[in-house]
Amino acid sequence: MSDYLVSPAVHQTMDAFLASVERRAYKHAFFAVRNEENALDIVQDAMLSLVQSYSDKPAAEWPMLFTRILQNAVHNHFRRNKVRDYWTPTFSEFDHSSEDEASFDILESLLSRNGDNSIESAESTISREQILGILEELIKNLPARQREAFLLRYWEDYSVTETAQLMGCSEGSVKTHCSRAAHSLADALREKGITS
Amino acid sequence: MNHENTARAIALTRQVLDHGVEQLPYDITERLRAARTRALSAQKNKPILSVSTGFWGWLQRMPTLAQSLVAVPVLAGALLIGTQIYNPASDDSIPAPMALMQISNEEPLNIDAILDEKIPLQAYLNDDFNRFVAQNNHR
Repeated sequence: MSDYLVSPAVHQTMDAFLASVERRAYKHAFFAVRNEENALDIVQDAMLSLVQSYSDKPAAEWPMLFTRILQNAVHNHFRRNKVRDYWTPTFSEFDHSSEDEASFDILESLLSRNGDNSIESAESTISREQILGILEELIKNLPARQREAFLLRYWEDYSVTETAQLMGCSEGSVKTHCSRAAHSLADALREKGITS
Repeated sequence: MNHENTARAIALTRQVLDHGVEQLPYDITERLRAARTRALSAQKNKPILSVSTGFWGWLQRMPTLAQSLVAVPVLAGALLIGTQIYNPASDDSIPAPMALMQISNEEPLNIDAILDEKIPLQAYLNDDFNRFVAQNNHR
């Protein structure tokens, strides 16, 4: 299956390890803080912290340590900036009209390109990059804990137990967050015509 | 919404996110690489902490001021003891070349005579000769 944020393979050097995780770490941070500069700063802080504090730990422990450091760095960012993710609208709070206003532009523009006004399936019309853009936006709009749980569990393939450890919550909470996030995404993708 | 649709959404999300990681803009990947290099340079510059035991370990763990308060008397004591143990004037085991210098404290060597080989160097190691020179000088 997919890789961990940190690949389960044990890397011989810290350099190789960081190179294997930096891009995914950036995406995690970016989904959370929604700003390139801040996301890059967070990843750099996390790398620095891992190198300075844990480089003498066994390489097999780096993945979990780095993920935990990254999560903490994101939380610290919000703490510093007095920003809370829960202020942002969540999927469950979206009514369909506001969702249409907020995110229907891409589909609308795509449909308007069809000269004969025939409605093609969005799946066949929307390119992968456009789906990526839509999905990233959907993920960014998930509540912070749901997004965190979803990405760790379903993107990074951490087990429920590991995800719970990383998030500092119970396994039951992880399952709840994951379920809600997955259903929200599935609903949104279906409504946008990306999945049937 | 059934489980099959949810699973399909999850699979699509994973696939698209993986694709997105590979398609990051060049400037982002370069800045990530630079961040990694900076972090790793911190590792290279990281001071090596050794846990010493005994007196030095105890001293290293003390605050700087306390270290100074302890170190100064200890060093002074060590110097005092060192000077008492090593007293060149009372050292009997001076090697031959130094013995010549030792004699020179009392009577300067006649360097010209030595260089002209009028007086063999070994003569200065002879007590009778030295006494003879001393007597001549006193006259």
